Amino acid sequence: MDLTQIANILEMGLLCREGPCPEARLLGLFKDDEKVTAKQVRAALAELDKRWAGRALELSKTAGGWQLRSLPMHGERLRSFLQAAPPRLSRPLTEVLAIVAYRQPVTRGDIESIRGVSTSVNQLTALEDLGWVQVTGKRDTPGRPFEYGTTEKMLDDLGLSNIGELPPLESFFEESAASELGGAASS
Amino acid sequence: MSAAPQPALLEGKEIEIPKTLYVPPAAMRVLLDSFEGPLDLLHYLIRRHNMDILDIPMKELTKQYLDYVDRIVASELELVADYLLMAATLIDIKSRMLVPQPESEEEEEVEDPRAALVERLLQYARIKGAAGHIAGLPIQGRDCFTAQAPRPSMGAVRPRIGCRMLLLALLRIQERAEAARELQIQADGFSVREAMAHMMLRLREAKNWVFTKLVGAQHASRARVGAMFVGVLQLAKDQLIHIDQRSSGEIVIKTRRH
Repeated sequence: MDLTQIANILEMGLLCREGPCPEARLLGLFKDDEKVTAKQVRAALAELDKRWAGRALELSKTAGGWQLRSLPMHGERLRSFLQAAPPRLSRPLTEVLAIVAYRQPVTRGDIESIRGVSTSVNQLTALEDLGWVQVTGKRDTPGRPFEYGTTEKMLDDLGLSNIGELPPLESFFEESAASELGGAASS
Repeated sequence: MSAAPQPALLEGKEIEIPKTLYVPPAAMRVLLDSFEGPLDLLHYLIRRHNMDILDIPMKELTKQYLDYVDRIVASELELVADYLLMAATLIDIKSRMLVPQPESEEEEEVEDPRAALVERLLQYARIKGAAGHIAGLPIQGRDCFTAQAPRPSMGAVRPRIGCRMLLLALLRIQERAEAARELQIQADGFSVREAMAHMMLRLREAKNWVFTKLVGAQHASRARVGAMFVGVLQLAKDQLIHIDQRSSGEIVIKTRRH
């Protein structure tokens, strides 16, 4: 089976499957006697990436695997076309998410001391509802507070392969441009 | 002398801070809502006045901050605890900076009273930046959507059934029921309790019994042997009999009661 054929089959699988698909699962599109290797699949994925360049969908790899997704530049257009309700990301919500993402595992106390505000329950609940944050354990300190961490869904929904893809926290010293972005998103 | 408090920014528009003592509650609400908390307010003041975050003019900052907090206290009591704590921290730092540092003989580094505050502010500023970055990422369901062909939902196919098919089905069911009946196994109807009573009777006839004889193993059904076996164990547990094994391997049951 040549590269084009493999790429065609992968394309079909990705378009018809729900959600991101891990590489190992993509191999399941081929029968044993077709002798398609993981290496060939990777090469075909690169081929697919090229194939979709400059079109309305792009091949993207996140924590959960590969998917063909619409371009962010058309986000608003598609959102109203699909009548989709986007996740509401208020400023406090993104601040709490940033703290969990960068400082995990964190407790509510950690979050509140970093923000200097003694309320973060609502934000944590909202993030748990989004499936972006989950309880990962309990800290061995008095009161045994819950520790929170980010989920694979959070990585998938934010288009990340792993948490290390977020820029290092130290790079946000001069944050004026970024914080304006945050303000705009919450409005 | 410090200037009058600068107007706060909310989504690019300036909110005038009222000059009189009376603050319309709606205006206060907006002012409060534009800050995420005391650190956010401090962070805003520092940027607004072009202060150096690593060398904060405490007097100026504290005054600016208290100006805001005074107004907050006047309107939203339940929200002020966090702000008041920060006010206390600022005044504490300011007062420690006013006190002359004693000449230390041991040449030890005297920590800048502002250090902890600066550390918190820097950390908060970074988190704010990170939050902005995250909010700007292409987010699934907001900025992009996974392409996915919906699976067609197939309507259930209604089978065509005639009288003949129904009849055949009935016959098959009857056939199967017949076969099942033939396979049915009748229970022996010999309970463990009965087995126990039976054995106690025989043990009254003779004190010692070889186990296989007591059970009558050659002639008994499997269920009967099973019941007997469990019965023997139960009797032994109730300490009514004694189980012994001879060197020949034979198991012997004896009564205990006399």
